[in-house]
Amino acid sequence: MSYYAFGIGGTGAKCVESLVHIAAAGLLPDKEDLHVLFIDPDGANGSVGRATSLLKNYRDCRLGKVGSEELFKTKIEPLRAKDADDNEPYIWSPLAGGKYQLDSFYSSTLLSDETRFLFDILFTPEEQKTNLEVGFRGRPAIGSAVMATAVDFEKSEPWRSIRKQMEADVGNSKPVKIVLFGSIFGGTGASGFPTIGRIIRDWVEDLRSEASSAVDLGGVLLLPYFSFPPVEDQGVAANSEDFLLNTQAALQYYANKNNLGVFDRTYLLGSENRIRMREAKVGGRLQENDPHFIELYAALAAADFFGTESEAGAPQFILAARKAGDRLTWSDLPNSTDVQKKLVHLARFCYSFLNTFHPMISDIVGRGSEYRAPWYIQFFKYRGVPVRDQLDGKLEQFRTYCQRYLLWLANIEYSVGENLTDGPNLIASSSYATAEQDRRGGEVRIRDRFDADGLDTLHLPGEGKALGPAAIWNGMSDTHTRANADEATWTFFNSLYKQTGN
Amino acid sequence: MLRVVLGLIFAGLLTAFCLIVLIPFEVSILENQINVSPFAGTSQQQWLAIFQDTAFYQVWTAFFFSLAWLLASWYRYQIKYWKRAGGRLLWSGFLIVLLLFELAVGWFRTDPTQDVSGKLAAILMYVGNALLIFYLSSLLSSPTSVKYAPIGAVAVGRVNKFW
Repeated sequence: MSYYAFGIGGTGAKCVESLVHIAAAGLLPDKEDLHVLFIDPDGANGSVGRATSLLKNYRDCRLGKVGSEELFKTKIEPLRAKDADDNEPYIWSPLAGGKYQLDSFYSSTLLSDETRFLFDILFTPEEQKTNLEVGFRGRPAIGSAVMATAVDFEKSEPWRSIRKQMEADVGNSKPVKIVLFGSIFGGTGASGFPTIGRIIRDWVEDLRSEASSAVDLGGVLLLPYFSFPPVEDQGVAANSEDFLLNTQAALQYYANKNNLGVFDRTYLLGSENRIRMREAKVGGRLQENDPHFIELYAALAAADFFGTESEAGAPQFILAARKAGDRLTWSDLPNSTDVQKKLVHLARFCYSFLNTFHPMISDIVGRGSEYRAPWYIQFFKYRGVPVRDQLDGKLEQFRTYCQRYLLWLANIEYSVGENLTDGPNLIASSSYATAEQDRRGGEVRIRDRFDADGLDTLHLPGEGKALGPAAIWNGMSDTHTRANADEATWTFFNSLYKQTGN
Repeated sequence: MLRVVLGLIFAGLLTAFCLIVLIPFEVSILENQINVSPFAGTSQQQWLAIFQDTAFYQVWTAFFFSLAWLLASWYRYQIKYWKRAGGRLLWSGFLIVLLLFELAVGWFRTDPTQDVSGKLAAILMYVGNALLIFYLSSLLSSPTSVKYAPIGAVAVGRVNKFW
């Protein structure tokens, strides 16, 4: 099986961000590779930037993985154009070539008179001249026109390479599952989701029948779940007050044209309580919206799609709802026991690593006295690991990832009720995060020092009490390994993962 | 906790070894090899009996110091936060206090001998017995979180996979 995930626009990128986190927790089925593509005309978009940075971090952490633990079990490969730099995160823009205005994209001065008149009817002069470098500004009509032209499975990269890769998978009897993430209410997602879905479906139908049955297309479509204050003095811009109207119009359009019929499975997600984003920006680096629990649902939807056998017949639509509109409990999530177990397990791992093991390693490298940590002697000293180098390498990569994961979880928690202290919804986050209220609203941050007893509040499902920090320390100190220097660091992570899951 | 129990058993075995094997052997060394000569008023047999009594209580003292180290370190070094990790200072403190105690008690309880080497040999035996029990039991069976606190434990641990 091969898995492909396309994150369209900022919301799509945030869904991919959540997908990466659940992949780290081992929630994707079996051990097949996941291929990811970000699609956004605004390459500097803060949400996209955060997601691509996370993806790079994930891949760096996973490099050199040994053992069969669930931790980072899924290999994630970014999809790229043929000649793209392997070291750079890849974000495909339909506006490549420097044509950031609609009229220059279509070379409107070269259009015939009739085409020019149609162009003028469909798009206002302001829309024709708007700089689209920061996105389609909440105008799916603009985006659809651009996407339909730019996405070409035959001629343009990366689509040609992606097509060849998927055809190779199918040729090797490897079923292909493709999922698109996008919002229905924005600009890029709303335009790209049906357009790219249709293009992929057309390609699938052109395959031989046995090959086409090996390709499944899923769509995760997000209805409005956030709002933001109006953007001042920016000309054409998205307005969150129009989201519901846009959604109504879009859903009506989908129904009339059966646009969602191109998907074998469609997941529709939304929240009636729309969280207010801290700051409104047209685009660019500052358009970075905090993670939201809906994106966790989106990622779990993709995991469900990947793990479900395809069924011939009419397309399926999956709906889900919480029991209470102002709370989110584990039982509100699909496959709740497994999801809770793995997400909490990874949280316990990250908590332990950040609060205990990484600071201890840093202190030993700086001040010596390694006898204080028997596990350090067994995993690093006896194995001949150059720990000082690792502190700048693998250990730092994991430290960064663990902070990102806990911050993501805390934001998920915060997005339910806009606070961290009023009782946990999913995970009690106040032991490692704070939500500081400032003029822009609440920003969730990771604490410099976690509560010593905080690990005890991260409950694994099932009966019995999970190991506390002292027991984990002792468990690690009693663990021996014969790993060589190259494998010892990952062996350490595997052992810590195992201890924190008990 | 299992390691603490095993540590206690090991310290107990070392204590029994000292009581049953080592002390009689030391008495025989003092009597025959060194041939201690107490001053007038104390026969050699009386001197050796005092040595044997003192060594008996010293060995038990070392056992209880080992017990105290095992229990105190197990209780003290439940590492909830990394800054609490350590143990060498406490272990060194136990060792130094034990040795000073053994030296002091041994010095005052042991009668002088005409040849100073006799009394010195007796004191060395007290200290050696105490080191054997305390050092070996802490070296090989300290609680997990402080198993490398005893000096030399890191080197021993490299070859001792039971650790």
